[in-house]
Amino acid sequence: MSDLWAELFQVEPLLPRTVNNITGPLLDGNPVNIIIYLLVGLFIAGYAYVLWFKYKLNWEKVGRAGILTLLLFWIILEIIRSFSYLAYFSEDRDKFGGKTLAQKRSQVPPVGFYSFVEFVEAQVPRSAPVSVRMDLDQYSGMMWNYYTAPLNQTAEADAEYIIGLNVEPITGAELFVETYWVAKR
Amino acid sequence: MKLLEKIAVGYLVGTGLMTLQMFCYSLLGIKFNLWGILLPWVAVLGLMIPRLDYNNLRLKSRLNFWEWLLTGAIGLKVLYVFYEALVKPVVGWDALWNFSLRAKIFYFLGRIPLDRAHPYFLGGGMKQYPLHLPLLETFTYILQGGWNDALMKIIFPLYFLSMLVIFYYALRREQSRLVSLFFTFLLSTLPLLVYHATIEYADFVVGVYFLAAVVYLYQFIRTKDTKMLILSAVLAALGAWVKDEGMIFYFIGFLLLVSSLKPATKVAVKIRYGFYYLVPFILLVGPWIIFKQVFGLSVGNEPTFSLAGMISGFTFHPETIPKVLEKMFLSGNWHLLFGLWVLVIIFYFKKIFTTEKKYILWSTVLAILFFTFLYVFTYNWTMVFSGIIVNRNFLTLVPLVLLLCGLIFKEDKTDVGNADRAPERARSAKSKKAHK
Repeated sequence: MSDLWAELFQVEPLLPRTVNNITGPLLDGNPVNIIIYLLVGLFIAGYAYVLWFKYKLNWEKVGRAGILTLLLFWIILEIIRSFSYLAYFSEDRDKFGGKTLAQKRSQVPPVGFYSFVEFVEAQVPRSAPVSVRMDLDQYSGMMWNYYTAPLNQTAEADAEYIIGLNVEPITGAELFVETYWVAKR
Repeated sequence: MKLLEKIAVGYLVGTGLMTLQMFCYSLLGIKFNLWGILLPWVAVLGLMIPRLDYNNLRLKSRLNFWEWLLTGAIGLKVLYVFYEALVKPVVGWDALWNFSLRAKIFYFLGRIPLDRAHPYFLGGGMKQYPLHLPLLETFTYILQGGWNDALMKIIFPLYFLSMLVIFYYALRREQSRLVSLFFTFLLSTLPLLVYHATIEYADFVVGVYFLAAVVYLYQFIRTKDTKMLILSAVLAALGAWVKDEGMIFYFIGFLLLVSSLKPATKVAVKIRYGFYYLVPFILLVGPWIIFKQVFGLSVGNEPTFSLAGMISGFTFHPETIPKVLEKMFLSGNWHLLFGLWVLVIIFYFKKIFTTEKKYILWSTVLAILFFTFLYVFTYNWTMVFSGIIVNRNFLTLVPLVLLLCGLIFKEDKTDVGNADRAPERARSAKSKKAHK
């Protein structure tokens, strides 16, 4: 039983896929909404039954009571959700709060990546023709492109600088770390 | 219209017109600079500000305990959204490779690169996507005098705040303050909506324009005040400048307008209303559509989209429908919104269909039908199963779903708030008379 309570109040982590979907609270692996709709449906049927037998059946009254019950569950769901909001708030406050913009960017995944961008910016003049060798996952590749744009990218033969991202360094390369480097040709 | 509502609508209209202005500057070869962009608006604001009525900011009666509680809960959520948006730089996938990338390019180049051979032609990313969001982000960089992509994100919480204000007043025109606040609070609790107000995507923003466009169209249908019709048309047109779905929403608005005109209405009046609705689209979105035609840019996500290609590529995937229903009813994105919607439609069927509220219902039903068409009959079905499309599409219409519930929930009880609206009713009666 306590496992079920823990599952219901579990904080849903913020992941890249959160942008497309928030799963919401679960009970025994199932969305809690199923149970709520079932309860509200039963309540409406029961209330209609009681009114029908004891008083005069008034559908508006039944609907209103059903809607109010649903709204009550909505508030409960929001209270459960607020635990996640608190968790996100405190996580982001610890990670980003009171930091400079560069420090904040360094905290965005992949963590530390922005320090390499700053390293490159210090070595390569903005308009210089550069060529990039990279072996990055899609997100890091996009991050690189975003942070360095507008970059004067060109074919390696015409480049004044070659930048390596997660690849073996070439001779004469200035290393940031082992596989991240900048080389002047 | 109350001052707060004017400010909220002003944010939507003002930012939309300003980004169109920046687009026109680029077409004319004028580089972006702060005063070049702001000066015309300083003149407009100089004329408008003295005419604003600041007295209507004052409350007519004191808030009771529950109203305070709801205002506090909404305020907390607004603070949370502002904090979460501003505390971190850009993190969203689509922002990194599209919206915010383009904004950064425009800022550093001081214009939109319009030369096809340029490596950052139209800012890179999805070149066929409308430019409102990237240009608005660029404007914040120009305003800051630097590329601070954490501060830039203030535009999203401001859209969130504007949405809440427009939503509240849309309800308040017919409902008590308590009910209006309660449903505004419910709107501020929708989890995916709240999350999108803190990141850098366009779905939520186009949804705010759709909400506002339908709210003022509904207001026009009720009062026949042509100012509301023009405002609705401007907002709908600007929605199409945010995202391509906006064009469909604009068309939905047009259908609602046509269906709301009674057969007895004079033809000249019908033509005049049609003219009012179409002109903003031609003026505001026309240049962008012509530009896309000239540069051979498609619509939507497919760089090579064409109508003929879509028809020949028709598929049939009814298995997407249970998946869509699952996302609507069983996910945590909307709490219990769609369950509430179904109950409201079942139990207040008559109240909806015998009043103008049916147009709000139709706006959402038509939008859902449009999205369902995309899922069932086009290549989009794969994205339903990969889970990347349904909820973001539905972000655009959920405020309207809740608006209908809020308007229906407790009808037109006479209270202090409604008593305040006597002048509005008189105006509306006058407009209706003129309409006849």
